[in-house]
Formats: sequence, C-alpha cells, structure tokens
Amino acid sequence: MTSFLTIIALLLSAVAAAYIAVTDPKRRRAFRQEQVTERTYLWPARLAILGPGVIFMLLGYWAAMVIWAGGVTVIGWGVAATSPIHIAQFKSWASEVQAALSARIADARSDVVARVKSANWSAGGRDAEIASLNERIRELEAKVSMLEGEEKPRISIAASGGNS
Amino acid sequence: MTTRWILALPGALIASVLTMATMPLWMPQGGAQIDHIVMPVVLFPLIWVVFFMYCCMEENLPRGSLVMIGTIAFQSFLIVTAF
Amino acid sequence: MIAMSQSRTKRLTAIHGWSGTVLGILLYVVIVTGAIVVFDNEIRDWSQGSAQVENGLSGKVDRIVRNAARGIDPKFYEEVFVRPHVEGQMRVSFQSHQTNPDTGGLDDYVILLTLDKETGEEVSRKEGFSGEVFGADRGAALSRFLVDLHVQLYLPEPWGLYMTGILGLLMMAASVTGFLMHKHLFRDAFLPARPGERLVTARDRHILAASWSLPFAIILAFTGAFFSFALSLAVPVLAMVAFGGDQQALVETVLGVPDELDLTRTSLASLDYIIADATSRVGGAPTLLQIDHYGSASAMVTSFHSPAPSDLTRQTLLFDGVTREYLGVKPTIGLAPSVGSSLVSLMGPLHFGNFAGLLSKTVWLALGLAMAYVTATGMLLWTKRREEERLWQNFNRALTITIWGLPIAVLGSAYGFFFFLPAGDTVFWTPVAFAIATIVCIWVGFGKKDPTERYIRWLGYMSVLLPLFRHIVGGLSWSEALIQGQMAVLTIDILLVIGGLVLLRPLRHAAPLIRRRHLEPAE
Repeated sequence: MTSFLTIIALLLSAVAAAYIAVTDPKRRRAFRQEQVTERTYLWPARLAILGPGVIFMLLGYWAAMVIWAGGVTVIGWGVAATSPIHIAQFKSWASEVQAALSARIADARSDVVARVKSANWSAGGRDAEIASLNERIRELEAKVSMLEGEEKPRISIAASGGNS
Repeated sequence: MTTRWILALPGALIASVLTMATMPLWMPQGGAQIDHIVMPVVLFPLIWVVFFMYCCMEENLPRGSLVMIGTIAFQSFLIVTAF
Repeated sequence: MIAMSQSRTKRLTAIHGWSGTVLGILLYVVIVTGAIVVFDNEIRDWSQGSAQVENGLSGKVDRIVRNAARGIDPKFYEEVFVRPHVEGQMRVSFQSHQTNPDTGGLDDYVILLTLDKETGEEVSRKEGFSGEVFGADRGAALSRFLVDLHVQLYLPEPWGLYMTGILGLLMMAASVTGFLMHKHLFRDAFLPARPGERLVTARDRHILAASWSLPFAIILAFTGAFFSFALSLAVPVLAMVAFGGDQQALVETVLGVPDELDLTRTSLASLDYIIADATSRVGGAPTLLQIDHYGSASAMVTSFHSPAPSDLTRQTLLFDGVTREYLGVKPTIGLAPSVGSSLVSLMGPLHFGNFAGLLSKTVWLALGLAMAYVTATGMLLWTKRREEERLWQNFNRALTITIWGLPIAVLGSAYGFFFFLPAGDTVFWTPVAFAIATIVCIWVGFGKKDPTERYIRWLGYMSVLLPLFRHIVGGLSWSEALIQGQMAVLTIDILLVIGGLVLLRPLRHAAPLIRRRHLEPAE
C-alpha cells in the first residue's frame, strides 16, 4: 500500500516537473522555441512537485517520504535533461519507424489484395476452362451421336462382345 | 596558497579529530548516557566539512591560521589535562 | 546564495575541481560499486542460484538451537545468533569476543552451523574468526567481492576504510563547494544542455545532474564517511581519550551491557514462545534472533524485525532470556532511547536504501548511477578545459578507461565467478577475473583511437549475454526460478538484458531495417 502511494506520488511529481519544463521560458529561449503565451500554472505545478513529500511527512510516512525524495531528484533530473532536441529526435525516429511500418503494412495489404485478385482471376480462368471443356464435351457428344447413326452395328457388336 | 592548502587539508583533519576527541568532555550524556560518545562519532564528517570550508572561505589568511592553530592547541591542551 | 568575491569563487572552483580530480577516479569506483551493491543480497541469491526464501524465523527453532548448543563449548555462549538461511535450512552461530592474532585487534571467534530446519541435522560447520568464516562462502564470493570493493577498495584494513572515508569527506566538500559556486541553482533547474561537443555543453550537463543530485550526494557521502570512520577511527580515538585505550570498555558502554553479569548456568526460556510473542507484537516474524550469554542467569534475547511499512529503521525487541518477559523496544545503541541512538539507526537505511524492499533499492540504485554520472561528467569537464595540455590528454584517456572499464571489469568478475562456480575457488577467481578484465580494458584503452564506442559495445554484449552464460554453466533456469519463487534471479537477469539493450540500442536501426526488408525482392 505504501509502495503504491509512493509510486503515485512520484508519477504526480514527474508530470508536474514535465509541465514546468515544457513551459519554462528560459528553456524555450535556449532552444529557440516560441514562448508560451497562455497563462501557465507555475506555482500549482511547483506545489505538485513538492506536495507529496510534505503530505508524507505530515502523515508520518517516513519511508515513503525518503523514497519519494530520492526518486524525485532522479526523475526531475531525467525530465529536465530531456531537451526539446531529444524530443524532436525521438519524434523523427518514431515517425520514421511508423512510416517504414505503414509502408510495409500498405505493401503487405496491396500484396494480399493482388493475391486475392489473382486468385479470383485464376478462378475465372477455370470457369472459362470448364466452359471450354463443356463446349468440347458437347462437340464430342455431337460427333458421337453422328457416328452412332453411321456405325451403330459395330458398337453393338462390341458391346455384346464385351458382355459375353 | 601553500598555507591555505596546509590549513585546509591536514589542518582541518587534525582539528576535526581533536574536536571529536574533546566532545565527550562537554557534550550532555543524554537519556541513555551514551550521547557524549555517540554524537562525536556521528558528527565527525560534518565537523570536518565546517573546518575545511572555513579554511577555504576565510579571506584573511593570517586570521584563519590563527583560528586553526588556536583550535588545535586549545583542544590538545584539553585532552592532555582532562584525561 | 552566499555573496562571493571573485577570489573566493576562483578558489572554490579550484577546490571543487582538484578535489574531484585528484581522487575522483577512486571516488567513481566507490560510487559505481556502491550503486551495484545496493542489491548485494539479490546479487548473492542470483549468483548462487538459491535465495533466502524464508523471510523470518519460524518452526521448531527452540529444539534445534538447544540441540546444537549441546555440542558447543560454553565459552562460545557469549553471543548466539539464529537466522533463516536458504529454503529448509537455518543458521546458528556461537561467538565469543577474542583477540585476533593476525590483526592484533578485537574480533569475533565464530562457530557457524548450518542446520536442517525440520530435523536439526547438521548440514555444515565452519569455525574461525568472523572474516574467515563468513568470507569463505563460495556462493557469496561475487557479492562479497563487490561489497569489499565499495567499502574498502579491496585494500587491507584499516587503510581501505580510511581511504573510502576520505573519499566520503571529499564528496561532501565537492558538493558544498559546487553548491556555493553555482548561482542559478533553481533558475536553471529545468535547463538541459544544448547539443554539441562544446565546453559549455559539458558544463551544463554536469551542472544539471549535480543540481538535482545535491541533497542525496550530501546524505550518501555523509553516511558513507560515518561508516568508514566510525569503527576505524572514531572508536579508537574516543577509546584512547575517554577509556584509556580500552575499546572493549567503550563498546560495552555504548551498547549498554549491564554492569553485573550473573553467569550461573540457568535454563533458557523457550525461544519458540519468544518468537511467537515478538511476531504478534510487531506483526511479522523476526529476521534475526540474538541471544546474549546463552544459558546463563543474565541471558537476554533480542529479536530483529524488518521496518514497519511507514518506517525507516528496523524494529528490535528485547526479552529476558530466563523469564521470557518482554522488556521493551531495544534502541540500536544503549539501553534507553537517546538522540545518538536514533541518529545512528538512521545511518544504515539512508546509506543502503534497504528499508522498503525493491522499491527503495531501485531508487537508491538510480541515485548511485546519478552520482556516478555527476562524478564522471565533472572529471571529463575538468580535462576538457585543459585539453591542449599533453598531461591532461592522457588523464582524459585514463578517465575514459575507468568510466567504461570499471563496469566491464565488474561484469568480468561475474563471468569469472560463474565459470568457477561449478567446481573451483570462486573466492580466489572472482577478483582475478576482475583484474584480467581491467588489464584488457587498459591495454585496449591506450591505443590510438578513442575506445569509448568499443567499450560501450563490449559492455552491452557482456551484459546481454551474462544471463545466458549463467544458465549454461548450470545456473537456475527461469522456469525453475519462477517455480521456486527466486525473484532475484529473474530480476537481475532482466535488468542485465535491459541494461545491455539500452547500451546497444538495437531499435536505433529499426526504421532502416524495416525498409531494407521491404526492398528485398520477394521469393
């Protein structure tokens, strides 16, 4: 339970630290970003960074307080050290990966579509084949019936011979 | 510069060890009659930092030397006479 | 901030720089090994492949201890310790204070029995001074070596302790001077270093990390200096001054030994009863039981418990060893509560971060790594300022070798340990493997090219492959570890793999890799 509370407190402080970092005028100036023109909530964010420690102290949760204090110094540093350039690099990496992935997916999809289509095409081909075969059967049947008219006795002999 | 280094390195170390050694003389014994012995052990690193930083920050070097030599001499005297 | 004249600032910069540079390399070694040994118990469990699964004492402790005591010379009844061991076993040690002829100092002579928890059957027995008995543990050789490196740089007593103590003081001095030098501590708290290889970039990087680490740098340095100097320097000096040189008398005064000891043979109260009583009082079984003057009329039993969830310090209860009466909470030092005792009991948790399980240990590991980063970037900054000079160029190379070579050598010692664990003297070979890895790193490091890239690759591969190597030489597999509940094995293996992957950054090439596959002609 105490561990859970400590982790929540650390997350809260991390979010607050990230907010302060993103809106920090000096940081934005240093990285040639436009200043934030809307109202920023600097003091509430500062309170949110340090608040959990005070609350833990008031509650007498000394272990949580000390872990939180140590964690904040590391997480705060991590947040502060992540510069807009890092974020931009990460974004370009992510978008590159995303682009490569979506290209692959699009490709795979068109591949699948093509395969399905070609499967359909060959299925149509088979129909044609069947149709042509049917046609041929009909032709042959017609021939057979013609021949039947001419050579009936031979066939019947053959048939009776087969029966004997 | 040399004087300052001598004060800050061996000087601060000797002064803090001596301070630790004389603390049992004036430190209250506390609830368990042990504070006069335990507190000097715990506080020793802080005492060193105080002496070291004093030697580094003192602008008036002759005064700094006097303070350090005085501290060392006085505490040595205390140890020799008290025990 | 304190008003600073120009000469003062200049002086502080010189002190800050020199204090960090002269002994900075050693300080870096102490800090990195310190960050690692935050997990010393876990490393021990991981490396020997069996953990102290039993968290507290339970079962038929009383019968087993009594049986064991029958075979022991009563002169070793001075102090008896009972603690849980690997699954199904417990350890009982009988100790007496004796002068160690090797060191000339006061030491504990120990008879250490490892016993079956159910039958009380003797699994193993070791006898000798504490160093030999506890130091000869083959399975714990790796964690013990790393702890030794952190605590006394693998130097003989007391010189190693003096050295690490001075390094602790130095770290405090560097923190305080750094704090005074830096005028915009809060204003620049969210200003990251601008990119590039310029001096100002290196400086910003160092300052940002140092500003955030400052409070715990002072705490860790202070508590570390306390641990180094307390027994090696302060106790002898105070004993000389206040007790005419009698260290034993000082220790007895401080620990609160009653003046009159009645050593008449008397039957010991039931330990099982005391354990049950202590367990119900603090809500958890004792992790250690100490019996002073076992079997005498002055017998006392102290039970040690993990800290309560909201506390930093462990809970210690005192019982009468004859009447089994609960005597109250035992302060760390002395017999009654005192400021000194409270302060001393805070030193351990604040230095080791071991008061709330994995969470506090993880934070302490991160703190240690942050300090290592501050030390390394600080030293590199100092040499970068002087990169025109030949001497500092060489020093810069020595720094690079230390910064990357040390973790490589630590992993090297782990490989050595695992290689000799099935059949070999791990206590000997672990440091030797460390030394071999160090020599290889130094050899490669002084070549023409900057070795950083190569070191990072080595470190990454060694880290990723170590769990596999551990498994090949017969270590616990993950499925076995899961079944047996050996979380240390899983945790450290996973940490190693993640750490190695962070260094190797295989995902860096993710996009080109995906694209290349994509362009390959389909079969």
